Amino acid sequence: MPVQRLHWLGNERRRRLTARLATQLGEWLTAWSVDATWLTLADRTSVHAPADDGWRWLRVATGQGALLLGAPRAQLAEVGARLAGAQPHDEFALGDRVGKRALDALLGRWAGAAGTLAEIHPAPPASAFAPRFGAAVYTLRGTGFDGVVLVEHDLCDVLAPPLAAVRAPLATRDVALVEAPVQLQVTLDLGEADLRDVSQLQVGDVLLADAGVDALFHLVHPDARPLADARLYRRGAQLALQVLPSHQAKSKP
Amino acid sequence: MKKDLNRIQAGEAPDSAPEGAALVAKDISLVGHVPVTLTALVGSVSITVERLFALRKGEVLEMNESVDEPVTLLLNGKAIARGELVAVDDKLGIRITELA
Repeated sequence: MPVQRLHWLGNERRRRLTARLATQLGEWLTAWSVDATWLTLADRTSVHAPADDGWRWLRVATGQGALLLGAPRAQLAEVGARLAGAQPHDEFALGDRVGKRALDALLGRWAGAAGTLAEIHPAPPASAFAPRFGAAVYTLRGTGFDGVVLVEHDLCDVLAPPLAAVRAPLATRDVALVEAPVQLQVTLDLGEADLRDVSQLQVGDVLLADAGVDALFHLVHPDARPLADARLYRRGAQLALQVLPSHQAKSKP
Repeated sequence: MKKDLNRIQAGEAPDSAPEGAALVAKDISLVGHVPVTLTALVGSVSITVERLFALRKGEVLEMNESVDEPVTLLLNGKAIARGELVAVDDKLGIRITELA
């Protein structure tokens, strides 16, 4: 059964990631001499997976994670032409080549490391857009372009890593266990009595034990067998015990 | 003489609802001879697991109760009375001071 970890991106991390990607988008637009307001990146916590029909998805994967850009096929094809000032699908395929390099540069810049750019098909599953799996989803919009950017959670962890939280150091289980408090009871076996005798007990009656005055008391845990025998003393105003090996504990398996 | 042997088989129990008064009168004398286990709970000791596992013969542990605290009489593990420890000749006993 496949196990998929649930982890959301917190608001603070989303803000950091958004700021980083938006800055890099601005740098890319400037580097390609395009109006810096042409494309706008907007954080979308809930974007439905776009319909596959007519969309093209580019995925850049680095050793640290992956990032996807999806847009209507025709719009993606025209990015290069717009940047190069060329006609779409001109005879020299200038727009196509410029577009490929430009998008390669944008996605590589966003991914933070050189990666492998590839077109993927089919489109990423709807679950990839679900916030509970830790991906960040953006719209990338501008004149003639209406795309979606999906930053997979592994890459989110690299680009906007969780801030180190102040966490209490872990104690080893052995240390924690030995410090656990235990409440033990001190008991004396009085033996058996007939139900009739017990039902007729009255205040002032003395119930004699089978045991003698030097009988050993038991140190017991309510849920366990006797742990030790003991003699009863006092220490100041408090009762006290001197512990001895348990005869019952030794005789039982 | 050889006889036929037939194995006895119990019939299915009826789904009848109980009716009428209790069949056995609430008379303790009917079961007066039934033995019950009595235990005196003298008090308690609070220690850590580490201390428990380090206990050695002869070690003295202070209990949570003062010397004036009554002991509790347990009948099959249930507290039914309080009292004080006494010695009668060479036997230990409990003098009952409080009954439920």
